[in-house]
Amino acid sequence: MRIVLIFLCVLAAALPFMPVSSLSRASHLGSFHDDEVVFKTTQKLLPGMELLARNQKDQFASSQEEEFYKHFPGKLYRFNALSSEGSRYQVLVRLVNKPSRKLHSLKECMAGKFPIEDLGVRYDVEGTPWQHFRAGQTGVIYLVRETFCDLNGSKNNRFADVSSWYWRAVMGGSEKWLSVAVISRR
Amino acid sequence: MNNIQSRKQNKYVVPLLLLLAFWPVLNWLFRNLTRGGLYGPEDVISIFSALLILLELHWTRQLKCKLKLNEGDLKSEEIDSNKGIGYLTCVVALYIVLQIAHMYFVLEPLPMLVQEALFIVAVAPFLSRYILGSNFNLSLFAMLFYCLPLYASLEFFLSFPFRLLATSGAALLLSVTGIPSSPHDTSMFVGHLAVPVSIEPACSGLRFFFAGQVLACFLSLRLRLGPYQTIFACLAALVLALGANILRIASLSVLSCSSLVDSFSAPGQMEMAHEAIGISSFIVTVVAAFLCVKFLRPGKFN
Repeated sequence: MRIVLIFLCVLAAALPFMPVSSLSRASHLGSFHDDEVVFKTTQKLLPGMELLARNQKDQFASSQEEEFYKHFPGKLYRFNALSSEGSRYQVLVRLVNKPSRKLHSLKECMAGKFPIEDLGVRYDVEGTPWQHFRAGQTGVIYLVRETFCDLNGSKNNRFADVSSWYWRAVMGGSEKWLSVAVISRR
Repeated sequence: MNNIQSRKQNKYVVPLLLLLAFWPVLNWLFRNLTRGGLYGPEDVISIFSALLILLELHWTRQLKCKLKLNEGDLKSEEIDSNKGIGYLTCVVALYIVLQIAHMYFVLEPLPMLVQEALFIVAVAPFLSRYILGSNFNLSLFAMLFYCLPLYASLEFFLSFPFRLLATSGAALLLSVTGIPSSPHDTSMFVGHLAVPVSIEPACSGLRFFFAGQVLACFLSLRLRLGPYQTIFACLAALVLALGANILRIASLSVLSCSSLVDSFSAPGQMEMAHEAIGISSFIVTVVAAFLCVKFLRPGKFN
């Protein structure tokens, strides 16, 4: 019995080295042809802002982020945006094709690196609910607002929190969903 | 003699094998604990509580063993080493099957939370035997489970259903007390207000729920409650948390539609009132959960 256990433990220890990541990445990302729709919807969600071309170079900010998105059921976009007052913003858009725990709030991602202060839910002029929060206390401070919506940005499918989005996505309503986060640096 | 030697060997071999089989889980937990990540303040409090109670229980047991040894009355707590090894073999085999099946069908590794839960399933009986001297203890298992970085996932899956429940409950409570109110998704129309009161994610009551569960497990362990009593304690904590949150939301809604709001002149007074109601409800929940679990005595339902 002990030899069986030792064998199984060695097998379990070797499992993370199984070559599965490349397969999963190709199968998930190959199915998306929605870049234009994503751009249009994001622009629609950001009145008073001009969305600039997609930032191709900096798709993954770190190797850790790249590792995470290997198993992400969708696609990541980064845009630069310019407000009417001339302020620059970074817009992070995540497109998913199924409800998944992998699409979590940006607050959850940033909590590992920065102290987070929740600033509550606010509605913009279009009536889109945005979850606002501040990441960081000293040095670089990020002001972030985030919303979840369907691929076309329908008004009745916009949510400030990820749990509301998840349950709506589980119940149906759309096949593809977006998470749009606007990040400014202070 | 052979049995004693085998037990001594198992004492070191089993933890080593556990480390080997579940090294990705341990590595991930350690990384998250040291660099932040998924561990929020709620999770850290549950880890601290678990460490506190496990150390206390371990020392108490050591002391009892010493006393018994002095009295020459020590009954050796026989551990069937083969049973333990067999159990661990089954759990590791299950882990391998699930991992391979998930990789094959879903094309990605098993979710880390499931891997962590399997690790807890593997480690709990050994810890229970070492610390409590019993093969399985449900409250220890539950306490270890709440030590996982669980809060973020709970928030993801349960925040919306909890808010729906709290909104409906608060609207019902207000209607019963004579204040007309109607729930609409996670917001509700109260009294004469034209704009609905929105129940934000922060008001889902998940913190009440989590604190209640950790407290219920902590006390169940401390009082050495049986499995049925532990389940009862956790259910009682759940009901109390939901009830307290409904009460909090009803109070906040009354506050926001009453003339009291107009009397708040200084900035931040409304937020202070909001916080005060939240903290009072939290304290009431914790005290009620404490009394409820304290009321249970070992052997009452077993």
